[in-house]
Amino acid sequence: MADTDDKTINVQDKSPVDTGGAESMSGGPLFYPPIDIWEDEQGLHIEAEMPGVEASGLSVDLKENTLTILGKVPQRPQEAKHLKEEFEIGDYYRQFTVSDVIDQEGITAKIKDGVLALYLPKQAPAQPRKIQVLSE
Amino acid sequence: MTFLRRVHGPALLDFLEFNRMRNQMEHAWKALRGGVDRIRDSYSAGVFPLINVTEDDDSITLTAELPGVKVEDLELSIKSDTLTLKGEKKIPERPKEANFFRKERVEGTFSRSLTLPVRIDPEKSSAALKNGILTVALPKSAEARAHQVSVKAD
Repeated sequence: MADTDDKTINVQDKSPVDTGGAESMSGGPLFYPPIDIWEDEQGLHIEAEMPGVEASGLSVDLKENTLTILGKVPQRPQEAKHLKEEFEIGDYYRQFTVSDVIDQEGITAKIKDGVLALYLPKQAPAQPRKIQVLSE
Repeated sequence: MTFLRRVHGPALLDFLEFNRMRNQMEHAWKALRGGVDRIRDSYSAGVFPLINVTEDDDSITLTAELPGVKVEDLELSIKSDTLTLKGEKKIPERPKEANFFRKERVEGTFSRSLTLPVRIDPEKSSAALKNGILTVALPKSAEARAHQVSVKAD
């Protein structure tokens, strides 16, 4: 392949969610967004690619240590004739279990250019209590 | 049921992703056996980005999912009946000390050309990138529209 350098993106098909036969919420397909998760000193960073999702269509829910991400894509009218249909349009869903180390109050979520950025800060460690030793 | 648990590194997260992985494997297996529900062009094209193209009486519309791609990193050109989409998908640099649990996003360059089925009017064509979706509107040329003859039943 002469015209491909190693920086060229390889195509990835969307990964459909196995709903175990259950009906999806929107009637359309549901996909797992590709994600990056990394940790640094301050906390945990999650980035998910959800093209088509706006802030209003996004729900990030934390219940009993289970973090659920759901991104709804506005449904588009399907009147036009398809000449090429290489990808399907559907909502995005992914779920994780988060440990108690996370400061659940401090979680922030932003979505820009179809990429969700979630930040889950670690809890500040309990301040060591200094006990003054007095000499007589 | 067993959940996947991290055994190394700080146990900040464990993932309920067993189903996802199993599902991906099943999906790949089905595709290998040719058992995909719908034969899609993606299996023959295999070039990033995947595109959808629709046609109505007046125009051709192309859409592509490009999450995280900036307008300035995207180049769109039309030469006679060929549309070329080029660009680079970049992921902002992460701190050196970042410890990765998952790395599924990809970055890199892309280039894809498409032969348009009808003559379009490049002057009136427009493109918009919104929420990571590129939409290219390509109005048909006056000649292309004139060639359409509508037949009406009596």
